[in-house]
Amino acid sequence: MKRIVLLVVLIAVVAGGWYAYKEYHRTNADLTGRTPDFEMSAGDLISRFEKDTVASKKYIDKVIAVDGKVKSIDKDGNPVVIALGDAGQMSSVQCSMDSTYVKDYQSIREGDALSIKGMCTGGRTEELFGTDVILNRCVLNKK
Amino acid sequence: MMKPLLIIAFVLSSLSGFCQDKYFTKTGKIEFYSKAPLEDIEAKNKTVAALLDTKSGSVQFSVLMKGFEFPKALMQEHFNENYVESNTYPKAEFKGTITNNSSVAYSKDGSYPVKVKGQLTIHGVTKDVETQGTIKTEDGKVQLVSAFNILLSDYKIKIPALVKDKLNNNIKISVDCKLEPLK
Repeated sequence: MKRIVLLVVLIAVVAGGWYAYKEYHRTNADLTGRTPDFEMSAGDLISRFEKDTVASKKYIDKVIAVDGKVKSIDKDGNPVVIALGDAGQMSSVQCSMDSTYVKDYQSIREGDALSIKGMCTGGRTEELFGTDVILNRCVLNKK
Repeated sequence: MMKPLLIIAFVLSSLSGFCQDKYFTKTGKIEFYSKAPLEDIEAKNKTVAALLDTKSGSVQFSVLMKGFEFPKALMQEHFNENYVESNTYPKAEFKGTITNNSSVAYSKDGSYPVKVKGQLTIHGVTKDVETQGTIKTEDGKVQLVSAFNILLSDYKIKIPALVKDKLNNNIKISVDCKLEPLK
């Protein structure tokens, strides 16, 4: 009987330790395989954040797939940041790209039509800048 | 009669093209780093908005706290939920002025040491900050580089008692933003 108890305790300790180890070393999840919670155009997402900052909270910490034209791409440094939106406007969706797939971004040019999915970290509106919605850990969305 | 007016209009419009005094970026970089016995903490964010008015020397930065990426997911979750409470305080901001702005020749390529004074808001707490940095001008772009230290306790960011001796209250913040003319 004592032996069984000891064995159970041992298993529990090992399992707990293994879980703690895994949890401690867990990296941010790759979003490639994730089904997006929302799908919309860059213009739509921007206008939702422009109109109502309270209602826009439902998009924060959610995976959003966004379609749009590349307004600018910043390949200088890490990570690459791609802005989707209307070239004539200040507002944009800023996509901070997942560095794992950095090679996939090299051929992207301004004006390309793209679908990108990423974790929404929020929006910000500045007088001179328009409204920006920011997505993190973004990957190219292959449909 | 119309000719002088047209000339004046032309001269004015071409002048305004040269008088570029606002610069901005939305892909500026802020990193922070803390050395501690338990473990080093570092995170980066490359979606920083920055605006510089070269005429007045006013400068501002704004960054979303949730946009900081950590190598470890658990650390990132703790940072957002327990430390900076980013659901309640989503943004950090700095608003200030370059106190020796007149010594920077923005139209000439070069590297200039600057002093910056202003208010930094993190975790809903605003504090006066004074720091030094460098402005680099090249090909019509203006790069702002600076590094300074802050104390978490100044911004009412609490370190849980359990890890108090193992985490550093002193955090180094590095800023590197390349600004383009605001059209």
